[in-house]
Amino acid sequence: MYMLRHFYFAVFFLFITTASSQNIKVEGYVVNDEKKSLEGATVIFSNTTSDQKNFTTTDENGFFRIFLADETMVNLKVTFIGYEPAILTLQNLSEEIAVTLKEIAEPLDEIKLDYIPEPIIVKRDTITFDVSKFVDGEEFKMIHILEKLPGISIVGNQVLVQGKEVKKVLVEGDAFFQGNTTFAIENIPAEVISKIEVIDDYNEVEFLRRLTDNDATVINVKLKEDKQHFYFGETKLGYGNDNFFNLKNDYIKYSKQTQFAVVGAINNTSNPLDNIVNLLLENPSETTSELNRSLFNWAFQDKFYKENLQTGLGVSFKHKIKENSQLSLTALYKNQTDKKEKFSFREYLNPLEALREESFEKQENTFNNLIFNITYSHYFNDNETLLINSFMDFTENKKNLRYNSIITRNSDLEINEFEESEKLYFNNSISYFKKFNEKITTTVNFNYYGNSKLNNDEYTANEILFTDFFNGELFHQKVRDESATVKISGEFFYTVFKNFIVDFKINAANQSGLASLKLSSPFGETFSSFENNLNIQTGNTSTGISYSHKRFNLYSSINLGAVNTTFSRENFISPLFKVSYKKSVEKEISLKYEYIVRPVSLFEMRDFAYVKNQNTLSIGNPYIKPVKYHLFDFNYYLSDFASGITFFGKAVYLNYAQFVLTENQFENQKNTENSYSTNLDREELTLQIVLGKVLDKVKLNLSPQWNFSNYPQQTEKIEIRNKNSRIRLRLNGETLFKQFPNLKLSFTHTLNSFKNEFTSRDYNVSQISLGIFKNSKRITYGVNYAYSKSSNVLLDNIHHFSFKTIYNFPDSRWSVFVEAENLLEESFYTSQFVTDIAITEQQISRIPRNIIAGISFKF
Amino acid sequence: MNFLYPFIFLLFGTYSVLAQAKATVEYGVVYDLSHISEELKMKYPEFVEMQREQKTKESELTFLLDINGRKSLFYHPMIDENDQALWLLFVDAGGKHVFYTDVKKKRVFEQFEYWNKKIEIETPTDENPWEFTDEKKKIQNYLCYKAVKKSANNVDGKSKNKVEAWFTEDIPLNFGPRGYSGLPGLILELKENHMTYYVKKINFNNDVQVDYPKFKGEKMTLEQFLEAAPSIKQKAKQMIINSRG
Repeated sequence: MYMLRHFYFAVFFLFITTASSQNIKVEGYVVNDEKKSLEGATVIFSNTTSDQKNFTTTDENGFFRIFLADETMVNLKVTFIGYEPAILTLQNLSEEIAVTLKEIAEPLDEIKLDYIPEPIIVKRDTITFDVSKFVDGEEFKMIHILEKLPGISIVGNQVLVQGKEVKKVLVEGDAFFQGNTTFAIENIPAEVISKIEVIDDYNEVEFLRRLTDNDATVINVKLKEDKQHFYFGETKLGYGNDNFFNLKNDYIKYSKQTQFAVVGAINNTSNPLDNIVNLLLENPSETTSELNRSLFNWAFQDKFYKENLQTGLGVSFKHKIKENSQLSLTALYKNQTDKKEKFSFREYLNPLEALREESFEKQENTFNNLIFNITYSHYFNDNETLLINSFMDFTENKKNLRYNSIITRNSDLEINEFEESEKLYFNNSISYFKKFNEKITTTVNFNYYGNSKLNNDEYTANEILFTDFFNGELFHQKVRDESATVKISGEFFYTVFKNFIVDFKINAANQSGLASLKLSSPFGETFSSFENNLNIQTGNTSTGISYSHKRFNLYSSINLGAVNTTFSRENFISPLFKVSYKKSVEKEISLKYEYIVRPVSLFEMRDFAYVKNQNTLSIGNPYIKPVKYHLFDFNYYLSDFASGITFFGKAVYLNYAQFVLTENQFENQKNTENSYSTNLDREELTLQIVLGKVLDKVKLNLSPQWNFSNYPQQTEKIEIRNKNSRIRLRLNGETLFKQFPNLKLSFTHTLNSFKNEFTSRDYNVSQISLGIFKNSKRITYGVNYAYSKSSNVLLDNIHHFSFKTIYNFPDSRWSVFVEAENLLEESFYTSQFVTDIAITEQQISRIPRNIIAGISFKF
Repeated sequence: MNFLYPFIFLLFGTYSVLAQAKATVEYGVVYDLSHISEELKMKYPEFVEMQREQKTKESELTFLLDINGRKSLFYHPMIDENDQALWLLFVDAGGKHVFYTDVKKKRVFEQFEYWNKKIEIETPTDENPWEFTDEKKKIQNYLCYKAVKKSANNVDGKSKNKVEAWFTEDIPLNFGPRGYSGLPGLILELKENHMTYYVKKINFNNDVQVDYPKFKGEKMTLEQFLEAAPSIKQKAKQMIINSRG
């Protein structure tokens, strides 16, 4: 009896333990319609409200027993090979369940699956590439993997996924340093990557993703399990002809907790310091932010220098202080001393008198730039986030310019200019995001930014430069431009029900500035001075509704606002309408209409003139009004990544209701520009198609594009209507051999047409670039040849030839390299139309031919 | 009284026990080379070259999974040893290992030869449970769900990788490659270390028998084997040296 009591106690204990997690015991048996027990039948319980499932299999008697988590698991599915599945909804889980399966009348003899493990998984907002299915082990960096993935192309500094630009690169969900795509793809080692995820409609704050209209596409790198942290570094030193040299040192360390980088370079070959600047540069195509504009100058500089010595250093540190907060600090410094020489042919499209100018320019510059950026993010929980950012950019520039020109009528003109400029820009912002509950989400943003810019110019000329402006041949011009802006914005989202969201946005900004000009003699005697206090206040409220049904989404909003300046006030109503159908990242169609009102820049509103450059006198206008335009944007994606097919179509049409027209008045070779607001018709249209296909060993990409603009121009009080058209056809192809060298081909043909009442010119430009590349364990090499030909008689044909080869010593971290560029051509020609002036420039001071050999050590 | 049901059912039921799920599943392999590190490339270029050569032989391997009721056998028929790259791929993919799974006994038996010594490792099927994820994908017309579990330590005892399995409820066979089982459907794709096994064909029309394969190997647990492996290897090497005089 004593033993029996212990037995009961043991059984009771066993049941209690099981009941704590899985507390409902369900039993039953499975037979076929001949009452034969089915051994190994699969029995799955589920409920309708979640994805949770419990399952078991039957024993040799067809019997099953399972413990379920709760009473809602009443949906039962029983399956067995050769039998129809039984799907039941149970009324009572406590009763024994008897399931009879019915034999399939004509059972399958066999199933054949014609596939290899799916290397691409496509979901609504994500495409996942299983990297292992695309690589051959010869890839060094992430860029070499991306080149092999279907639908992804790398054009210049942009990574495009079926034509959409990738805005950021994340590693395991967090931005790799600041997220710059070039920095990530050129630095992350290929060997650490397990998967590449392309995420569409991305928002840094996850809970805002479904609420706002996000069109950002990002790449998230998934690391291999055993490569969750990595570091890499390289020191590279090269020396070549004519004392050309190149010294570079990179050290980058990554872990989920800490990211750290020190990158530095010194060279006189004009090799861009992109690895340094990319520590902070947000996104190559974003030119709107002041930070990017500043960084652009040193990331993507041209090579049109006769001499150039540059030094750069970047340090970045990103650390998770706690599990929920992160601090990021970045500092960049650059020093550059350069010399440039340029020959220009300018044709002023003056309707009254054709004017041609040939000029020669010689320039010496010294440039210093220091940039700091601090970001702090705190995630209180999944529904509450705080972001604080502070940024400062200080630039100092000295320019010494000598300008000689011969114009149609006049004799030689000689100008010497010495310019010193200092610029300080800062931006502080605080953003707070909170999701209160399933219904209510808010965001608040406070931004304080400003700039201070001082230009000190000294001009000496052999004749009077701008007669109305200054009656002398030698003068000083001091231009100061200062502004500060306070901007507060907030958003409120209310989810009425799952597919129906109402949002309310409010923005208020006050921008105050001071513009001043002082003209003096070289001896300090002041001739005249001007000072303007400028103000722009903007405010708007917008109410929008978003409705989704299955794959359709409809968003509509109405925006009421006002722009106040010292001399004008504009009230506006701007609607927005967007409709889209999205099945997945591959298949999407969207149409958007928006009426946009954009205030002009504060400095355009000054009411005095200043010498913009040796050719142009610029006069501001305090009555200038905001720019207003209608935007129609149509996008169409129809791709099939698994089959290697990419198709993307885009149409953008802009129609201006109000814009800033620049009036040009020529006096001799000098141009005086004056801006004012106008409602004369102006329209712009862009049509683009991208068609890509990955064949077995070839990746092809064809992208035709047509740009058309129709815009008025005011010259000598005469209105001219310009029609500018450009048709561009681009074909990119590359082979995907694993064991042989690969070939890259890029062909672009452009048809340009420019017409107005007085002139018409058509010309075409063809460019072809051919390269042979091979990455391998021992030798990596790349040879590139580019040729450009134009029908414009003013443009010469261009040849460009460069090569690069690296030899890695076996069983060593050392390697040697030889790099060469500009082997065929030392001068370079560009052509552009700058509204009313056709300019052909011969950049005769391109960095000369250089061949550099050196050593490298990887650590 | 619920616990009595099976007994009552057995004693008085008029049902007979006959129907069992039977099938032979053919699996192909994909060998992932992305694990080759920069260092390895520089230090051992010949080895890397051989790995690449192995990859070209993927299509020549076909593993078989025989299923009968609640028992399965996973193996690869013997191949030509003279093709070095194919043989190395065969070995890397576990071609010399046989896995016998008995769900009723909740046991997996892995039989193989290690440095001339026959070994049989017995592991409980429920020792390391599957973790279900919310990821799903379609493999042809079959909706598959992803489940992961920690990989069993391989011979070098260093593996910490996860095993990824994609299974479909539409094919109710609860087995997969390399002795993996216990999912509510057939594993159509399984990734372990650098090898991915994927279903090429399923044959239902054969009267396949699955029995415990006779194998005169030393029985041990995985832990025991990992402990004994270095000395087995050393002993075998010594014997080779001795035999060369």
